Amino acid sequence: MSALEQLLGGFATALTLQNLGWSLLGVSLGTFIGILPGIGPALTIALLLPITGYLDPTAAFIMFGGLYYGAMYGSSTTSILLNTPGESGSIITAIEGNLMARSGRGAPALATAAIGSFVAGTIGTLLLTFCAPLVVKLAIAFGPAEYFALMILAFTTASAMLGSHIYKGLTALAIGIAMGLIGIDELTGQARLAFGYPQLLDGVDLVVVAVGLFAVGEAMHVASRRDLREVTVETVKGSLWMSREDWRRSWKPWLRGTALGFPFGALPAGGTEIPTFLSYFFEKKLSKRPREFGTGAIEGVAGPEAANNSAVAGVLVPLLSLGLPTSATAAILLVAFQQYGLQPGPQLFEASGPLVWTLIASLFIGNAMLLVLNLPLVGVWVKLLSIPQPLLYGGILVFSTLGVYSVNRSAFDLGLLFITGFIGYLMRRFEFPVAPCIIGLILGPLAEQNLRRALSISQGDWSVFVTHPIALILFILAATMLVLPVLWRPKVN
Amino acid sequence: MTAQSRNWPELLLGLGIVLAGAIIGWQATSVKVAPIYAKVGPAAFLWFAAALLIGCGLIVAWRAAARPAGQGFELRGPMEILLALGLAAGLINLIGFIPVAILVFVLTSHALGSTQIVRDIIAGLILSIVAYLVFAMALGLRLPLGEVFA
Repeated sequence: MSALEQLLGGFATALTLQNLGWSLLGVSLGTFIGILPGIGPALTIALLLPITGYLDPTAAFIMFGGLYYGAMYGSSTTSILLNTPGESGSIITAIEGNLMARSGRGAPALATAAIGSFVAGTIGTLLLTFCAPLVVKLAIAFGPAEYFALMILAFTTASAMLGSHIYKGLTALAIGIAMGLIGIDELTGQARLAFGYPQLLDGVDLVVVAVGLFAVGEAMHVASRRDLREVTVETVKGSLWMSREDWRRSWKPWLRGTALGFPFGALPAGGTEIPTFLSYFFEKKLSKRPREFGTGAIEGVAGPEAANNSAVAGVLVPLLSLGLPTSATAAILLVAFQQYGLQPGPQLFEASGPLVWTLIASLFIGNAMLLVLNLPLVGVWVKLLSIPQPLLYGGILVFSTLGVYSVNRSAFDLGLLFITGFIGYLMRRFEFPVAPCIIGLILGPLAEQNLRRALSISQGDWSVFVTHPIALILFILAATMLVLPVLWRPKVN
Repeated sequence: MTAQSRNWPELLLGLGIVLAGAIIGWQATSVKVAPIYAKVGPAAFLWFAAALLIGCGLIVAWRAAARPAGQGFELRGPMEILLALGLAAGLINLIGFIPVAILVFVLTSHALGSTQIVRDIIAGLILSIVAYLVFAMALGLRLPLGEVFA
């Protein structure tokens, strides 16, 4: 069966009344939580993981589809009106979009971000539909050596591309790998880093780490900074519809942003941050009014926002076809799959094809729902931003406590939340990126497994990583990723 | 470089990262490696993480010594949130979910600058009861009522 036929099958499942309801719930919850300041898609999904565990897989994945794009949409709204990006891909939107909002052009900024997200999300999901099966065909040739090399590439890109300095990214990665090693080693049955606590023998749950690093870390960071507590929400005035001039200035940046974002997401090459920065530079270079950039140019919102959403769709290619998460959100989605006993990778399309195609179909549906529902309802969502911050963060931490406790019904996990929350705070306070930590936590044990498997197949011969051409190319790419940011790093004025 | 302009918090952080690396390395020494796994045994990745942390921690500490400290950070708020989570971990089984949730809500609100304690208690109470009912009734999630009240 071709990809298109399978996608149609996915639509048939996703378009039933009940499943449309799950999709609507997903986009609404995603927008609702994503719009809260400092909370991006990764935390939104992490917070809802314990709840979705009670649903049947199809309903849960339809909801994830909605959540994934809904949280992105909510995050960009907050970036524009409050200048607080929920994740690194929204930094440019937060700068240029907020400048537009301050000069009274908040409505067109929100509209170009929403329509750009829709265009990029739809094209990106379409590319995902056709690329993922191709990568699956490639991945069949992958053995443990290639997988290990691929994971090293994911490690280096995540550490080198995110954050201000490579050593900070690598520190975050090492913390994540160390956390991932906690528990019983599957091959030898030995306990590692358990410090005598039997509760640690099963390892640390990702929900606990994600909620600690993102929610508790963010709340502590805001509590430590008076200037972050005194934020101004820009009001949205006038019609939400863009003028003819706005459309004329937006459509090309949307398409260019989409073209830039998808490959960056699909190849494990640094997630969403780099394409948004590149899109901003291209738009500034191509613009007839480069002086407007830095004061609120609509192209500076349209392009990067499309690049961000397109990269987010691209990230699903390595996740679904190789089982390789290259962003924090993708890492949490991987755990969502594992929660249902599914392991993303080449076999997933064979073993659980209908479920995967339903997820992809629900991405299309969720994307359309967001455009139809949320643009006219932006006034309602904006009201959420007027909730006093103390009550907002009080509520977030109550739900964090609830979510973490409900994973294993264990007070010990709340103790771990205390520790990971403190680590998350220190990472924000000293500007360490959080995503490499999550990626290290998930991929660390998988990388170890593949390294040991590759060496046991080759009977301990390390040359296996050089004689396999794909592995060698991936290692060279990984080394380049470490060196590249030292030599060249784009700067935003 | 004077003592005042040295970035003490970041310097301490760097040393803390080195210490974390050393603890992981110390744990790696207690993992037994059977000869069959000698190529890459269960301790190898522990050593890798330990070395990476020690190396990066040294860089953090070295760079901290060369630049001034950042300004404008308060400690009271973050510590209050940690206290809330510490109490939640210690008390949830004893006094149950609802009182713990109110405690977390009130302490977090206070940490974020709220001075309206009565409003926060009422808001925390409503939120925790709603959350309890939704989770317990709709999702069948059993949340503790507390040994004290049982």
